[in-house]
Amino acid sequence: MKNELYFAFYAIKKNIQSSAELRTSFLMNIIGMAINNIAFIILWVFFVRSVGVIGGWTAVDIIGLQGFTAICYGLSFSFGAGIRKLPDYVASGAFDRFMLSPKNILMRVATSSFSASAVGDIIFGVTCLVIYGTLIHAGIPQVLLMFLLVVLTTVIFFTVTVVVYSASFLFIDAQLVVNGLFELFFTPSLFHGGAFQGAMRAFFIFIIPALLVGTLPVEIIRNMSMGKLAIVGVFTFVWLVLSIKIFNRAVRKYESSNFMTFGG
Amino acid sequence: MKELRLAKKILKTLIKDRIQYPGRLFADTFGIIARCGILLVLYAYVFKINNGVINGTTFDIAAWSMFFYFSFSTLGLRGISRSMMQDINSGHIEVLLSKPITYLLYRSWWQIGMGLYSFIVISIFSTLVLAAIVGMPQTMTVGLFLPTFFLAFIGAILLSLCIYAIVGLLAFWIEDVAPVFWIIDKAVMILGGSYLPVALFPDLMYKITLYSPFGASLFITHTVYESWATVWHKLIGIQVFWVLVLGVVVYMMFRQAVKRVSVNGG
Amino acid sequence: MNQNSIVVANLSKTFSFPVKSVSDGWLKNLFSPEIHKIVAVDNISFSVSAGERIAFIGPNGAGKSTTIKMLTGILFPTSGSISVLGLDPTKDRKKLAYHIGTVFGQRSQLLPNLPLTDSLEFFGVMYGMSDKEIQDRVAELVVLFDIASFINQPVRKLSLGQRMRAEVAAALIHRPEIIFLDEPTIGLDVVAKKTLRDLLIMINKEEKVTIFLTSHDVGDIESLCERTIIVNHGTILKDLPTQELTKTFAYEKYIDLISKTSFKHFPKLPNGATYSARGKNKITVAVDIKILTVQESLRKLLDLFDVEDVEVYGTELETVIRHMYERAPTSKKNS
Repeated sequence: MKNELYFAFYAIKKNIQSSAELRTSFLMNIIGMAINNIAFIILWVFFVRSVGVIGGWTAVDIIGLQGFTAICYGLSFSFGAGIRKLPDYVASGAFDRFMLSPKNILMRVATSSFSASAVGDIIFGVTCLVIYGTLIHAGIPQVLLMFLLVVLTTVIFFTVTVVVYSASFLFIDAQLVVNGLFELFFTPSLFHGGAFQGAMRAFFIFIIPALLVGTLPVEIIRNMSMGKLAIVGVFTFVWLVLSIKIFNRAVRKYESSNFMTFGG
Repeated sequence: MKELRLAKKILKTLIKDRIQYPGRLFADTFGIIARCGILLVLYAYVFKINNGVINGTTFDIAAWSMFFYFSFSTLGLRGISRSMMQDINSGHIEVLLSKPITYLLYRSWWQIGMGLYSFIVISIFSTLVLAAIVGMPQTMTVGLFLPTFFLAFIGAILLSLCIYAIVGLLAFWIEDVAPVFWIIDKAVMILGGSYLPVALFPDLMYKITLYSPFGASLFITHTVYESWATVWHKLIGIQVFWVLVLGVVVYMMFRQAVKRVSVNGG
Repeated sequence: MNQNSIVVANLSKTFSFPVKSVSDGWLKNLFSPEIHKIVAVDNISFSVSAGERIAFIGPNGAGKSTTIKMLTGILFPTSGSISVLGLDPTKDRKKLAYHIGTVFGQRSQLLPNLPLTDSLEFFGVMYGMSDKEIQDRVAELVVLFDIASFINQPVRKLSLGQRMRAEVAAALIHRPEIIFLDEPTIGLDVVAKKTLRDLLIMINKEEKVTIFLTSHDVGDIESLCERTIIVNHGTILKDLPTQELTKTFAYEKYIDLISKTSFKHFPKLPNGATYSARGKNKITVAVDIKILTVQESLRKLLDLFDVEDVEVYGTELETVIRHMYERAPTSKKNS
């Protein structure tokens, strides 16, 4: 296990060095992504201005929500960007080299690529959480909770992504299908958390865990809700186990195919 | 005549392709459910707790307005940027430039063809579902609605293709155009009335929406409001203006861009 | 005398690109970088008659792909003139495209998910053919290229050999006068290569299509092309009938010596003979017959070495071409 982690960090370091060679592009990606993320804050802040406080959520909570989701996304896809290339690896037969590698396949695939734009998400997310913490006058317990929740929500986010992208082994046109499935999880996580009530809320916590990565963390911090923290904790473990099992099952379905470049 | 025949062939071929490989249809269905479907459920709740009216707008009008945005998105015209970037970065552009086609038109028809099947199926199905659940506002049942909606729809297609083609052509000059794409795409998303219906815009934002090409590219989201009956000619006029201006920009950029083609290999 | 289908005069192409200087700051590199120029094609001139089969070859980076791309209108020349079938590719690219076909070995132009027939029909419409013309032409190509067995299969399921035949068929749907092929046999097995070469010779003879080919495969050049133009560093080194190429190094002979037991010592060779390869079991000696005759060199070598077997042969085309590449001028106008 120690060797696996060591190699994973080595692969990540090489990916970063490779990305950073194109320095201008690297910086443009980071800045561009940060600007991209501000759009959602603008939208939901104007929403709150128009409709008022819903479910106890104010405009400040929107900043916290975007902070958590951006960090999850950024951490998962900066260091584990390779997982999003899984449909392409499988369709082209490039997945062969991961099967032949003497390392854990999931880690090898995840660390096979690095996304510079996701670093923009991390920076943006951290900035949002700092602003959020300042605006709600967060105390030490809340700050510590924030750190804990960043870890838990990132694990949930990454493991759910693994489950979704494991579908790459099942379809020919997998890229589009898995992207669509991923949307079902990721898009609701960006929505105003207070508007999720009743059956919708239950569905997006227990079935599709979209609210676990942004909405619940904000409510936990705001209300110091240990019950919700327990839910997040339990589901972190559940999704972790599920993702490893599902990925390994899916790999067994793998078939090689020949590589050809095509255009339109 | 020949161009039209080729356009028809492109559309037919791609629709056939999409029918045989319905991955895109699944993806777009998930997409519209995830974005529009869930969003409308949330807004239904929000309107309910605000006694059914926010900023003088009722839920049914807001719902149809946002639905038009997401439905139009399934046509996937923004993808023309990525297609052009890939053509340029991979060198595939050399294959296309050796054919008797106008590259810009070819890519435009190709992009429409890629999304047309999904767009038709999803739009018809979701229109029926939305009509059944939310009903149709009175503004959509007047005689003026359909012809003016059609005009705004054509304007939306042309303007979207222009905007995203400009981004795509930048790949001839800039190595990584993705950040530019995100910023432009977000401008369209915000000003187009997607996650926040146009009726809930603050005044300044509404003005920017009216006069910028990003907002103009999605005037279909304005067609369901009561004000449309009096302002439609102004808005269509703004669309026509931007189509002409950006069309010229695209053409000029392409003329310069082809001189900059440099392909790897000796 | 055949009309010229391609006339190139004093053609040059220079690429400029910014280069990051290590000593300069990042900001300067971004806004005011150093510009380097590479002269990819340097003042070349040649013409091609209708119906010829030409190999246009050179080492990697020689300028051959750049030249082909200027001929097809993909790249704009820096200076000089090009006339392809009487048209200027830079001004009449689209008009010219109706009369030429292109095959890029490493890039497919076919529709991957649909049957091959769909791609052929697609290109037929693109080239302005009527439905009847397309139908008739597809039927012809099916017979000519023997693609009936896989014409209804999705293109992405074809083997590489089948795919390349399909690519060439698609490039000929509109009966072009010239076909440009960039490495068409790359990655093909020996049988597939022979099949493709035979097809190209056949369409050249039956449809009078001019063939303009670049390839690194010596077999393509030898079996397919009557004329070879060798480029390197952007200039034309040789332009001659392919058969004459081997005669260029006709003064070189090679002698393989197979040892009786094993070669332990490698003494100095007489003037005119040099070691080409040295091993325990086999030595190859290159002999310049302008200095030393084959008979004399054999006598001297048999005195020096204890051999089981001897083989004498002339220069292979591949070696000839390699010599040409190695001989090229080393300086190039860079700034």
